Parts: sequence; structure tokens; C-alpha cells
Amino acid sequence: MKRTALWLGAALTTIVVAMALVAQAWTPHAPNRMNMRARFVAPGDPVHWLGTDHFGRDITSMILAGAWQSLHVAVLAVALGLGVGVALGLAAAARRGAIDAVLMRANDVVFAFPAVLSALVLAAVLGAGAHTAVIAIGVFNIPVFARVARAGALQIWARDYVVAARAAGRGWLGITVIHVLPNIAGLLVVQATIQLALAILAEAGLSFLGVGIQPPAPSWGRMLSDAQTYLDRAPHLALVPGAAIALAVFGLNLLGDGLRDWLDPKLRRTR
Amino acid sequence: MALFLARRLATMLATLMAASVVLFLVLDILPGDPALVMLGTEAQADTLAALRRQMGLDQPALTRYLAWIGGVAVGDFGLSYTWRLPVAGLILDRMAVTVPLAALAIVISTAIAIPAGVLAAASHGRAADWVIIAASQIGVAVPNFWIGILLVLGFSIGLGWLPSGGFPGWEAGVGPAIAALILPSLALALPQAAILARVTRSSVLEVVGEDYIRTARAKGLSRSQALWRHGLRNALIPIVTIIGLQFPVLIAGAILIENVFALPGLGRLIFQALGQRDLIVLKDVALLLAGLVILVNSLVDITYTLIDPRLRGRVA
Amino acid sequence: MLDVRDLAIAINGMPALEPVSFSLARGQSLGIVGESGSGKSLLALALIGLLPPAAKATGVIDFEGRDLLTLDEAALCQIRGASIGMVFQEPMTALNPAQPIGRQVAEGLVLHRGLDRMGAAAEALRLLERVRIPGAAGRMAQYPHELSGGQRQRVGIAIALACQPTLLLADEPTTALDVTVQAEILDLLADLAAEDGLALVLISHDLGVVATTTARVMVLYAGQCVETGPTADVLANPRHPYTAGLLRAMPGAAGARLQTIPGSVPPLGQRPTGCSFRDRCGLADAACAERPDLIAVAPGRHVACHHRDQLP
Ligand SMILES: Nc1ncnc2c1ncn2[C@@H]1O[C@H](COP(=O)(O)OP(=O)(O)OP(=O)(O)O)[C@@H](O)[C@H]1O
Ligand code: SF4
Ligand SMILES: [Mg+2]
Repeated sequence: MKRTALWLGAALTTIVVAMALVAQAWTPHAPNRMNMRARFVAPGDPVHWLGTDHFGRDITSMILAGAWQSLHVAVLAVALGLGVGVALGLAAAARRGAIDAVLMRANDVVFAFPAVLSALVLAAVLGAGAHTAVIAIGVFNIPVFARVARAGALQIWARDYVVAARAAGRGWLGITVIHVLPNIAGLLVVQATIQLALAILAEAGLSFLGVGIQPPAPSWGRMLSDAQTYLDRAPHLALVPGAAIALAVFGLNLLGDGLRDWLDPKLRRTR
Repeated sequence: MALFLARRLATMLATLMAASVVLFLVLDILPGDPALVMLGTEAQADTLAALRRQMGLDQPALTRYLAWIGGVAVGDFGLSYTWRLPVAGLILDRMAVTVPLAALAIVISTAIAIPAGVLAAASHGRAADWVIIAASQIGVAVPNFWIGILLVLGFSIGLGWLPSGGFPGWEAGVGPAIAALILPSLALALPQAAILARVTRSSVLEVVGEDYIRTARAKGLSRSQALWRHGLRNALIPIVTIIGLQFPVLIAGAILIENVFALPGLGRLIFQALGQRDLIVLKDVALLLAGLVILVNSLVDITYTLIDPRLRGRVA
Repeated sequence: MLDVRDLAIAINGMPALEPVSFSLARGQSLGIVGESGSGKSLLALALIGLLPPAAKATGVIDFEGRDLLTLDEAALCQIRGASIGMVFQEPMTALNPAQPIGRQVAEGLVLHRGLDRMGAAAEALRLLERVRIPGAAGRMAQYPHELSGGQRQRVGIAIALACQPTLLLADEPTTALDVTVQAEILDLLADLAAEDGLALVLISHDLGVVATTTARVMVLYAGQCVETGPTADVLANPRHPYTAGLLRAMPGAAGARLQTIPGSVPPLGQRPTGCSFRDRCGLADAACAERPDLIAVAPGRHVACHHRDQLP
């Protein structure tokens, strides 16, 4: 049963990634081409499979192109959080003392600013756009990775072979790179997968508010916010992008859970 | 206990201070000339000068920061440039929407999640368990603003039972006001409930195997009696942790949901402030929301010690 | 009152307890002895109907005229705590850490005797005094972590005795305690059992514990009853090599040096064919490839060993 989660998650994630990659080369129609004579086409149409929106744009193409936008922002944001967070967490675990204390307090501060909130603040200064979304989501990810890396690293630091390496005079940076990092890599991969899912959710929210991905680039979140206006006459405009977001997030979550169980049977417990 | 509370309070204030410094740096220092940001480049020279004076931009940054924070400490949040009203009054008005919304969402999500989680644990490995696990996996994947839209589609446009948005105000009576909050709080609550149910389930499963549950059963309590009377309180610690950890998500969700439903709450206010480039309101509301998160996390910390008598002994 | 016939337990289909039979009247006591993993706790849990889900019991447990193995859950709940009390091995974890001890003692009284909160609290206090907890009145509102191990075990005994059961099961009640405290708890158990005239099943891996407390003893090895009889007789004159080994391993045993039995109880599913003690027994020979039956060697005295007469 446990492996079902892993495979289903991997399959769904592959589909979403494939959608994003395919959209780079090909979409059934140009995602931005308006066609005022084919507005609000219902799904199931032979030309516009998932229908068209209020400008007559092809939903299928927008969803495909939106997958790329969404993943692109999410990957960059998680990479930012992972890079900075892991470096800080590893340093805190290695050096302890003041660095550790300051880091933990700083984490509390960042934690108080969920991505949507910091994006609204940053957008006032940096302007709305993908860059603001990446920074806002990425910064909120820093403490997450810092905590995971620190907790994992602290355990490795207590192991015999690390104690031996220290006795042999190896510096903390060397030990971190040679012993600690490889041992917590699995942990970080699992966390990154789950954070990617959260980042996609957050990005969709930001684009919904209009502070994330900007037109003309299509995005799932903005499709939803446009759909709200025509909810009574074209509900499919709201159903399709929402389902796309949910599917992407669902797949990544399953993949993360599956990976965790697979990498660390001890963590399996009673879930 | 008193010492613990004092220490916890000091940490909380320090975190709050740090958060305010960050906000000040981003919104007051980073833009160079915040007045220019607010008015745009085509602004008249004299209006610009007036705003600069109002914001105290002729004074050093430290003075400005202290004036801001000193005002906030005594409830004076300054004057909104666009609304031409004291921000404190604006915030107070908007809180009358956001606080009930968030509270209702927490109540609904807890009311769904805890019974669901306990039920799943009690029927471990059987059909009910699988259904609840699957539902919660889906629940965590679905964006709350989409749930909001779907609820509007179903209950407002479809069935016509509840308003699709807007808020009549508490003056219109409690009934209509609550009616306006039901769908938004439900949208906010469902993803939260999904997470909470998962945590409840695994926490209860952990507790079921404990020796004291067996002792309770040996006293003659049935499986579910033992679980509710002896398991839940002990299972509550991870659950409370998650409620705390999820609070920023709730705040973020409230910003989105208030915009889906056009509710005049803090989330809508901060969004409008951004649209109007009213950095004064933006800074104040952001501080308030961040402060709420910090406050709730401190409360969660304190709650542990109330739930777990062992911790109480340790901090006393 | 308690009549156990051919009680056997299997875990996931693997036999964990071979059929055992014994009976116990009010005022009588039985000790069950064996090393860790020999199936003692499973036996006790079967007697109170709390076996883990993976375990299946067969046979008959006739308790006051009803077969516990055929009763439904609701009927068992009526019996547990009311007519059968149980004391557990780990006083550290057997009490709810988040509830004052007074309430934990009172709970059974509310459940079975229909007392109100006040009445149950008064009775709980009386019980705590009866198990000789010093300053009981002041401790009613304390939490388990505020009590010493011995005091917690006293609370455990108070819980078990709360509704005046007729059968008391004590599963290694002293194993987790200091030696001096052990003796106190054993005395307390024996006294209380005698006062109330209840049937006592005392489980231990230590023959010494059983020696002073119970009239009869049953020795379990790898899920099999290898020897039973009057405690004094079995201790003075063991007929099974395992019992003899346990005796030699007893601290302060009749001037002899301390000698442990080499090896340990084989885990489920890895038990040898023939006599299950074969791989650790000094007397084992080809005959032991055949499983020995439990044979009466004297009235009320049974041994399962082919070479039962070869012990000195
Ligand atoms: N829930 C369970 N699932 C699987 N095996 C179990 C379970 N409970 C007990 N066993 C196995 O049954 C055998 C007997 O266990 P039992 O707990 O009765 O031993 P014991 O004599 O009480 O030992 P101890 O002195 O350690 O308490 C052991 O091999 C144990 O591993
Ligand atoms: S039957 Fe054989 S192996 Fe078993 S106890 Fe007797 S002598 Fe030892
Ligand atoms: Mg045991």
C-alpha cells in the first residue's frame, strides 16, 4: 500500500512536468490568442478540448502553458529556500552557540510572514511579478529548510564516525560536506518535494491576487480570478484550473510521502 | 510558571520588534522615497512635499521608526493617506470581519478534523480509515480560494442558499452577518481540517498503543471510552502544535478568501492598500498580521504546559 | 471460580502459548514464572480479554461460570475492573500522565459502582490509604510524574482493587522497582489478597518473588508449561532442568553461586522441534527430539521432561 503513494505521486508529477515541458514546444493553440467569435466555448469541443474563456482563448493551451509558469516559480522559490536554508541550518548545527540561537530567533520572525503577506509587502516596493513571488515564497521556505537541515545534521554530528573525524582534526566545514550533507540529502529531497507542492499552492494564490505571474503569461491562479467574474455562465473556467492546481499539489504530496517512507522505513510508523 | 511566562513574553516582544524592523526596512528604507512610491512620478511637487512632511521623511530613519513603533504601542497607527482616516479605526473596523472569520474557520476545522481523525484511528486499516486518509490527502492539495469559488458555485449560484460575497456589517444583525461568513470560513476551514485530521489520526494511533490505555481498558472502559477519556488529552499536544503552525497559513488564506468573497476584512484592506500604494496602511496591517502569528505561536507554547502536567512541573 | 482448560494463544498463526490448564478458587494464589518472552503476559492478557489484535486464544476460560473467550465485548467490559483487576508491569507508563491519580482510581468506581464524583473521590482516597500511600489526601490531585515508582505501583494496585474484584492479575508488578520497594509491594499484594479473599495470579520472571507470595506455581518456557506444583515443593525439589536453572539463577539461592542459564528464550516461530528447551538443556539427548508431555509425578505436581528423574 505504501508504494502506491510513491508510484501514483511519481506518475502525477511526471504528467505535470511533461505538461510544462510540452508547453515550451507546442500547445494546441497559442495560449494568448484571443478569438472574440469563440468566447465561452464549453469543454468537449473538437477544436477547443477544454473550452475557451471570455476572450475566446483556448483553455487547454493556457493550462499547459500555466504548468510551466507555475513549476518555474515554484522550483526557483524552493531552490532559494533550500540553498539559503540548508546552508544556515548546517552552519547552525556545526557551530551551535550564538549562530544557532540567532538563527532560531530569525526563523520565528520569517515564520510570521506567510508568503502571501510578504508578497503583498514586497509587491509595493518591487512591483508585482514572478520575481516577487519567487522571493516571497523562497524566503518563507528558508526557515523550513534551515530547521530540517539543522535537526538532521545534529543527529549526524552525534555519530561515532563524525566524532572520530573531529578527533582526527577535520574542520567543521569538511565534516559537513563529507559526512553530514550526504546523510541528510534524502531528508532534504523529501522536504523539497513537499515544499514544491506548497509553493505551487502559494504561487497560485499570489497570481490569483494579481501579485504573482503577470499577463500575458498564462497562470492557473489568474485564470481562477478571471473565472470568478463569469462563474454563473461559464463554471468550467473555474473548474479546470483549480483541478490542475489540485492535481499538481496532490501528486507532489504523494511523491513526498512515498519518498519518505521509501527512504526511511523507520519513519513509516503508523501513518 | 511565572518565570516561564515572563520569558516567553520577552521572546515574543523581541520577535515582534524584529518583525517591525524588517517591515520598516522594506517599506520605508528600501524604496528610497516612500512618498514618491505612494504618489507616483507625476505627483505635484507640493503634494509630494506635504506627504513627505506627514510621513516625517525629513527626519532620520531611526526617529521615524521610533515614532512609528511608539505610536503603534499606544494604539496610534498613523493616518491613512488614501482613506484620510486614522489607520487604527480602519483596522478596528476590518478586525470585526477577520477575527470572526478566522475564529469560525478554526472552530469548523477542529470540529471536523478531531472526530474524523479519532474515527480514522479507531478504525485503523479499515474502510473508514482509508476514506478519511484519502479525503485529507485531497483536502491538503486543494487551494482554499478554489474551494471558496466552488462553494459559491454550489451554494450561491446553484442552490441560492447563501450570499456569494460581500458583508452586510454587524449592524445588519448577527444572522445576515454570520450567513455572509459561512462559506468563506468553510473554504478556509476545509484544507486546515484535512491537515488537522491527519495529525489527529497519527497522534491518536500513537497514543492507542500506550500502556495507560491498556490500564483504562482493564478498568472496564470500552475501546472508545478509553480513547476519548485518556487518549485525546495526550494526543492533543501534536494537534495543538499543528493548529499553531498552521496559523500563518490561516492568515494567508484569510487574505485570499476575503478577496474571493469581497469581505471587508484585514486581508482585503492590505490588498486594497497595495492597490492604492498606501504604504502606511500596508505597513501597519502587515505588522498586525505578523504580530497575530507571533502571538498565536506564543499562546501555543503556553498551551503545551497547560495540557502536559509534566511540562508544568518542569517550568515551575 | 477460575477454571482454565487448554488455553492456547497464537500470534499471527504462530503458537505463542501451548495449551495450559489450571484452576483457582477464592483465596488461592498462583505464581507464573518464566524468562522474558515465555508468554506470561499473553496468558494474563487473555485472562482479562485484552490480547493484542494479532493474538487469537482458544480453549476455555471459565470465570464464575462464564467462558470469557465466548463473551462479547460489552460483557467483558462489565467484568474487567469489576470482577477482575489487573496490575501492570511498568508503573512509569501504566498511568495516564495527564490525569491526577485520584481521578484515575475513582474512574472504575464511577463506571462499575455508579458512584457520583464525590463518593468516588472519597472511596479513591480510602483505597489510596489502603495501599499505604503516605499522605494520600494530599496526593489525590497529583500527577503520576510527581510520584515515585513504588508509589505509582501502589496507585496501580489501588486501581485494580477499586471495585473489589474476585480475581487479581499482577503482571510483574515489581520488576521495574528497587529491591527494597519490591518486597514492600509484594507484602502489600499478599496482605490485600488475603484480606479480601481474592484469587491472585502473580506473574514474575523471578522465582524468588513467587516463592514468598503464592501457594502454587507454574513455570512457563517458550510458551509451554514445563512444571507446576505447590511453590514450596517445586522450589525445594525442582524436577525440570529449566526450573532448576531458574533456581540457580536466583540471587541468594541456598548458598550457591549465581548461575544464569546460557542462551535465551527463542522467539516465536523459531522454537526447536521436540522439547522446546532442548537447545539450552544440559540433559538433552536423542529422546528429547520427541516433545515431552506434562506428566503427573505426584498429586498436584506435573513436569514435562523425559529425564525428570535425573535431576539430583
Ligand atoms: N502484540 C504482539 N505481536 C507479536 N508478538 C507478540 C505480541 N505480544 C507478544 N508477542 C510475542 O509473544 C511472546 C510472548 O510474549 P509475552 O509478552 O507474553 O512474554 P512475557 O513472558 O510476558 O515476557 P516479559 O518478561 O518480557 O514480559 C514473545 O515472543 C513476544 O515477542
Ligand atoms: S526433555 Fe530433554 S531437553 Fe527437554 S528439558 Fe527434559 S532433558 Fe532437557
Ligand atoms: Mg510480560
